[in-house]
Amino acid sequence: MSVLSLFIALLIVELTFIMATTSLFIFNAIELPVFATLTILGLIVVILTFTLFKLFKMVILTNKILLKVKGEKVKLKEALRKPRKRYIIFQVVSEKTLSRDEVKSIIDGLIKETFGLIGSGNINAKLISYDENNMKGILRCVHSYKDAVLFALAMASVKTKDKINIIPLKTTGTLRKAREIVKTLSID
Amino acid sequence: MKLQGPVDFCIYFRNVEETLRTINHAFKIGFNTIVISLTLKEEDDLKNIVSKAHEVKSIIKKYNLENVFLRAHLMGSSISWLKNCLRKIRYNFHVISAKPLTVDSLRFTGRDRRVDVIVYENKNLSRFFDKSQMRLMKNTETALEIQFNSLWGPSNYKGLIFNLRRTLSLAIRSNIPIIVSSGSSSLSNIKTPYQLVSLLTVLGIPYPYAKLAASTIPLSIIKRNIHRLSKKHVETGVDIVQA
Repeated sequence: MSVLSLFIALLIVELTFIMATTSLFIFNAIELPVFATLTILGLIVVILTFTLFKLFKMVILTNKILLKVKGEKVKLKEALRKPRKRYIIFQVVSEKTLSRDEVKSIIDGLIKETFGLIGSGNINAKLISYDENNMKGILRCVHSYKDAVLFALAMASVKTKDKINIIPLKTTGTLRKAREIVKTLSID
Repeated sequence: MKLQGPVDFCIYFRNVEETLRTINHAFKIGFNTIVISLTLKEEDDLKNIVSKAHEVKSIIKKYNLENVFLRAHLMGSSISWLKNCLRKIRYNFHVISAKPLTVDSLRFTGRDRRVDVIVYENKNLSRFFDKSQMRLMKNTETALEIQFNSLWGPSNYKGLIFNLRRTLSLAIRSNIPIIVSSGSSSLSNIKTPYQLVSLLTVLGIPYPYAKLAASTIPLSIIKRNIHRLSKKHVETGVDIVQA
């Protein structure tokens, strides 16, 4: 039950009490001093109930504000937190062998063209390693933009008219694990 | 092997070797179920596609490929041609999809229960994927498919992204199932399940919903059609129960 409905219920009870005493006084069932005492008592209780209601409301409001501030603090903390990294292991499918510089320029161009200057800045993608023999590499990016990078890599075949395709094989959180996976994972 | 996602709902059939290689790679990069698509245009012969379907089925059997299904991809503008196709080839394929070329055929495919999927078309008809189309598709439980490779044309992508977002939001609001597929035909344009999901995520669709588009929804369509093609099925809600 909410505070407001409780307050209304109490108010109805108190007003009924005052009305009952008044009617008793009208029909001469009680005398004037008793009626006056009871009425004053009833009014005091009404005022007390109203004050309590206001107090309750204030406490609830304060709690809500405190919770909101706490939430904002958590959000701020998340925003100020050092961004986590993701390492995307990928393989290039192409007829001719591509050098590291070529792959780097293709990936940078794709990200820049797809998400623009601000987007590419947020993504902060970097080619960590690339093996020309098996055309596999590791790409680092910010964890919250992993999907954006995957999308940009998917656009490789579209931009190069099916000449080059970049297939992401696995995503990890640490470089060590990524290097381990590069050795084992392959689509050939 | 148990039927499970992720599903590549559209790998176009070019030739046997190329398709086999693409299927193998699709399985390696994470797909568990694959649908091979045979395109049928108005100028094509219906008998040819049926024989092609039998050929692909025999290949699937020969190489013991599990969880590989067939789909007919109809591309046409004439309603009578579409009706004729649906009548003649419906029972040879697991899935029927349509890429209508006119507004009339778009509305017709939205109304016909034999069509499982309508492929989103960006060129001229994008603005006709509107509320009334969604209402038609909702009544017939037709899904909206987005093919990654077919989306990008030579023109600029500004209008494409805008229209795609609008259509997707309309579809979600109207409870239309969305499917995302690669639409690849060779190794050079195959996409991983995560890349397919990323297309929807980049367009602002929540990740859990985007994941459904690459796994649960296409699977449910395949399962529904397997049941429809089985001998037990009589009508929707009516099955033969053996004692």
